Parts: sequence; C-alpha cells; structure tokens
Amino acid sequence: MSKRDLENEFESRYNDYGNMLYKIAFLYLGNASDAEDVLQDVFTKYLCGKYKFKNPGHEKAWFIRVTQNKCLDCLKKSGRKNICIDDVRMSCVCENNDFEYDIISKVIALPEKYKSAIILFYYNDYTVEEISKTLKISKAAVKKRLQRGRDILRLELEDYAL
Amino acid sequence: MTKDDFKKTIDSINPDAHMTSRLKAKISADNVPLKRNRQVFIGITAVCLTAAIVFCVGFSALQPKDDSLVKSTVPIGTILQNKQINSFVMVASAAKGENTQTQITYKTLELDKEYPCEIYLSVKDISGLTEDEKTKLIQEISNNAFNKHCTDKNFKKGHSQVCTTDRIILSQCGLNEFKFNPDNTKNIKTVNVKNTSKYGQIVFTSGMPDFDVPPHGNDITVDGEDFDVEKSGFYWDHTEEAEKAFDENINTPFSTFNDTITFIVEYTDGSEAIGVIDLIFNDSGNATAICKNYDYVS
Repeated sequence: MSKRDLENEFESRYNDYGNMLYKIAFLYLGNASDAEDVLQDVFTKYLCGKYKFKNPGHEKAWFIRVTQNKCLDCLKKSGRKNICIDDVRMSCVCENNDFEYDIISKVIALPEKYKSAIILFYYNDYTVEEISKTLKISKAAVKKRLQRGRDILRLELEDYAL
Repeated sequence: MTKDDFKKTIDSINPDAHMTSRLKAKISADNVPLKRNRQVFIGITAVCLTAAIVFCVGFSALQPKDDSLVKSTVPIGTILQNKQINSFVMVASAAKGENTQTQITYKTLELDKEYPCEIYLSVKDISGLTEDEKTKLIQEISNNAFNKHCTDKNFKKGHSQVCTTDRIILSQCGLNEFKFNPDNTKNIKTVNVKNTSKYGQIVFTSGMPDFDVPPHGNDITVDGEDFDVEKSGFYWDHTEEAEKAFDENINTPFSTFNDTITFIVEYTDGSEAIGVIDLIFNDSGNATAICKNYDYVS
C-alpha cells in the first residue's frame, strides 16, 4: 500500500468512525490527549492488519471493541487516573454548559464495566444482545450492568434523571 | 433526561479541528509498518516504569558456567546493564510514602524473604443496605479504591477494580506487576506464567496493541515475539471464585487466596529459567511475595 493509499484509507475510515470513536475514548479516559493516542493506536491497528469484515455493522463493532480495549489497556497500564474536573471541562466543547458538563463528567466517573454497557446502549444504540456479544458477557450481566450504571447516574444526577 | 438528551450531550464531545491532520501525519506510510510487527504502546514511558513498578522479576538470558544455582544480590539497574550476570534474579522495588518517584528502593529478592507486593483486597458486606445505599457505596469505593492504599497521587501504573454481588463488594487494587528483565529478549521462545489457586489468575499486560483481550488465566504462555521486555508484564488478579467465596462467607480469611506463581522463560536454545514465588495475604488483605525457588536449566 502506497503512502497515498494509506492516507486515503485512513481518511475514509476516519470519516466513518473517527468522531464516534473519539467520544468513546474520551468517555473512558477523560482527556483529549489520551483519547487521541488511543485513536492513533486503533487506526494503526486497522491499517496494519488485513481484516475482512462481513458487513459495515461488523466493521463498526470491530472499531468500537478495539477502541474500548485500547482504552482499558491504557487505563490498566497507567493506573486508575483521577480525572481532574477542570481538565474535563477544558477538553469538552461544553465549557459553558453545566448540564452537558455534569452528564459527561459523571459518565466518565462511572466504573469501567458499567460505563461500557451504558455507552453502548445509550450512545451507540446497541441492543442487550449486541452488547452481550461485544463485551463477551451474558445478557443477564449486561442488564445488571445497565441497571447498576443507571442507578449510579440517577443518584449522581438527581436533577435530570436518566 | 431522555436517551436523545444523553446522545446529544455525548455528541458535544468533539476533537479539535486539527486532530485529523495530526493523526494523518502520524499514521502515514512512513510511520506505519505494513506488516503486523510489534507496535509501541503510546504513552508508557520510562517514568512510568520507575514511578510505579513495585515488583519485578528478572531473568538472565545467558547460561551459567555450571549447573548450580546462582543467587544474585545485584540491584535491578545493574542487571539491566550487565550482560555477564549468569543468574536468575528476582528484584523488588518498594514504593512507599508520598514521593514514590524519588523514594523507590530496589531490593534483590532472596529465598524465603518476605517482600510487600502492593496487592490489596478488601471486602464489605452490603446485604443490609438499600439499593441507593449500595449504589452510593459502590461509587464511593470505585472512586477511592486506589487512593485508599496509594497515597502517591503521581502513580502512573497499576490497576483496580470493584466487583459486587448482592451481598458483598470486593475491591482489589495494586501496583504489582511482575516483569522480566532478560538480557537478550531475542532469544526468548516463550514466557509461561501459571498459578495454583482457583481464586487467582494471571493477566498478561502486553504494552502493545496486538491483543484485543489480554491473555489471562491460570496458565498462560506468551510467544517471545509478542513479549516486549520494557512494556510487557503480568499481574495477579482475583477470579470470580474469590467473589463467590466472600459471597458465601464474608468472613472468609484472606489467607484462603494465598497463591503460588511459577514463571518459566524458555529460550530458543532449549534452556529454561524458572522462578517460583508464594503470594501470601495477611488478615488485612495485603499481599506479600516470598521467593521460594529459582533455577536455570540448560
């Protein structure tokens, strides 16, 4: 693959998934710099591999799963970081929107396993079954995690319950 | 708040306008290997290693002059630099106090000597709490699990997790990572790590993005070509069996989770370096490592 082909391939995939993956990575890691590093890893992995996807849905699921795994790997490697609220505010476009800031900061603070289920269900519109396959856990476990995640958010965000 | 509100909020997170250009520049043909070679894990630096590696295991790649065991008392810095050491050495660096980065000390492990291992287990009974109280407690523990034990706010490495059943919350955090420091990584054929307790498992941290799910279990083997001496390592993690044990009896003594971990590095010439440590938990759930054996078989 030539440099031009590589760049074209990157642009094409980035246009399809870049923004979505960035949001996911940001919610896991809580800062723009780490999220960007993860995206670099994800697209590098994609461009280095010769992946055959059954359909666009399969490809999208692959990108999401790899992004999540990269984020978890990053967290494990760097320790559970204390996310500075100001960093979150500065990294978001919601600088002057307390509502958005509150929601995002609480999602970021969720324990990882609840966060995965919440993001996939509420942001990516995955079904319980799809989450079950993506996270490789039972449907019952998915439901439990969603419930627990919702409970935590509800408690933290009493003013605008999820 | 509706699902649409939630999505709209998440949609407000956007990268800056130049991120695409930066990524494109990084992921260019000049930088991306077109074969699936090892890739460097971004963001892990030498600072991370010196800041928080709390427990290391080092192997020499060179064969000893005779078959007898050689016990070294050389600190890790010397091991990494001196390729003439013909021994298998386990090295622990103890991270204590609030200035971990400057107060790390390295100690060579000696047989049967105890070393703090920076693995912490704790359990709480939540059977009498309301759902809201449980949720609040889980959140609190999740946020504070690491800080409870790690007063150093500058830590860069470690892991923590909080697991719940209907009756208990089990949290584990630690800075422990078992690392190997062979002199010549190119000669490593495989690295095998196994443990004996059903309450524990070994997790491989590759430091590289090649693994979607890190290999984990009671007996895991990593190919030498997937093993990066600077970034790869292993850590001990509790299993669901541990959660079940506490769920059935919250007074289960932490010593139930004592474990024995065996490290085997097989070199391409057929020789093997073998190390065995016992992982002993005290009544508070803090682990100590005891080196029980090391050997080099040519």
